[in-house]
Amino acid sequence: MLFLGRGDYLLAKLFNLQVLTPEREFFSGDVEAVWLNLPDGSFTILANHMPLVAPVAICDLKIKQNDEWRVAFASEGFVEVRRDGVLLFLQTCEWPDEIDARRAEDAKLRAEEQLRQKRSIAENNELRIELARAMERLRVSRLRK
Amino acid sequence: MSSVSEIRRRIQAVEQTKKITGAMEMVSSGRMRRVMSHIEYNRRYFRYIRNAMLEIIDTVNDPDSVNHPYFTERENPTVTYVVISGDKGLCGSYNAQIITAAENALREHPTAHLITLGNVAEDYFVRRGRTPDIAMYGIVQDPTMKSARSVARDLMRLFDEGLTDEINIIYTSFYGETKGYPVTTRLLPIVVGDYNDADIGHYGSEIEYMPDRRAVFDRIVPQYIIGLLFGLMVQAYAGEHYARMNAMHSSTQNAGDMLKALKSQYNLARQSAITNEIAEISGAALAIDGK
Repeated sequence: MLFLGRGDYLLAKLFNLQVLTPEREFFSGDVEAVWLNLPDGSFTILANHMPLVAPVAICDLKIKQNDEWRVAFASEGFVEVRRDGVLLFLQTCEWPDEIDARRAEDAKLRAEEQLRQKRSIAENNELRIELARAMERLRVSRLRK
Repeated sequence: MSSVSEIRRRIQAVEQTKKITGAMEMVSSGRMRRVMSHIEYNRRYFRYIRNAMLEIIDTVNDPDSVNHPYFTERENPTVTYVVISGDKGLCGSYNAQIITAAENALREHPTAHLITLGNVAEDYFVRRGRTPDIAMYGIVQDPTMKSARSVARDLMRLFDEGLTDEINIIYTSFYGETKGYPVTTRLLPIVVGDYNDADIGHYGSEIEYMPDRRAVFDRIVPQYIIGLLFGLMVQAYAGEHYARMNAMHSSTQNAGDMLKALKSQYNLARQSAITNEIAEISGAALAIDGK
């Protein structure tokens, strides 16, 4: 297999991907590659990846299927790479056209405003995540076709 | 026998009520169906996440290396009960069952803390002079991930700060044999022995953890708690609407039966009124003739 960087490669081999959230099954099917963010950088999973469990950061999740990249918003969670496929557990996951951009904008402003006020450390962390979530949602929502 | 106009008014009242109960039944069945799909996926999500967590525990040679506070049972625990009831009545025995279960639990642990989700449970315990330590509002009407996250965060904080050593959720199950009945589930601490149905150990030690087991574990545990809590909230919500749907269905049916009975009463009353009138007229005519 010839690797050309960032998930572009020849002779694509498929593997099963399931993206699960507490609310729904977001995605299930055979894909060529998955691109996501781990806390210390971006990460691409191809077929026959070694078994792995790792936390996933809030990011734009990219799924390559039929030679085409699809992008979705992914909230924090973790990924489990198994011999028989990849399981992705996320708090929420949305396609660009499912995102309510105005709501995300409101959430962003609210989180920023609350961050400006002094809060406890725990609350501060929570708000930071809230803000990251809102910003990523906004970014992904702009990819709408 | 009541007069014709009286019966007519009763018929109108019953018809109005029947319309309302019919509409409530429709609304509840719609809401229930909306969250039903959540329940199925939530169970799958939850089962996977639980197995992933147990796999980590299972593959650790030195259990202390993942010695998470949420897995440690404390001695002489201060117990907290979180009671999930409805915000409204008119749903059969749904609220009554939950309150009975909560009462029983509180009788066993008289010193336990009480947290209520839902107005009905709060009102009941306030009336009984057992004011809940915390009452949360606006959550049972619309169980979302957002509210599950905030409730889970608050509960974890109580546990972290040592204000409570054990958190139990009393909710109405919507799955399996216990469907429609109140169930008590332990949220914290997580006791591995609570789950004997997990299938673990497929991959064993060949899994790599990034950056390390501990970090992954710390990440999974809150997700597990949020996922579990969301699942319970959704089940309670579906259970409430299931109960309301059934209650309203039988109300609508009863209203139909009542209408039938009232209508025959009405006809009887109307007929006897007419008979009376005719009797009076013919009586009067006879009296005139006889003059």
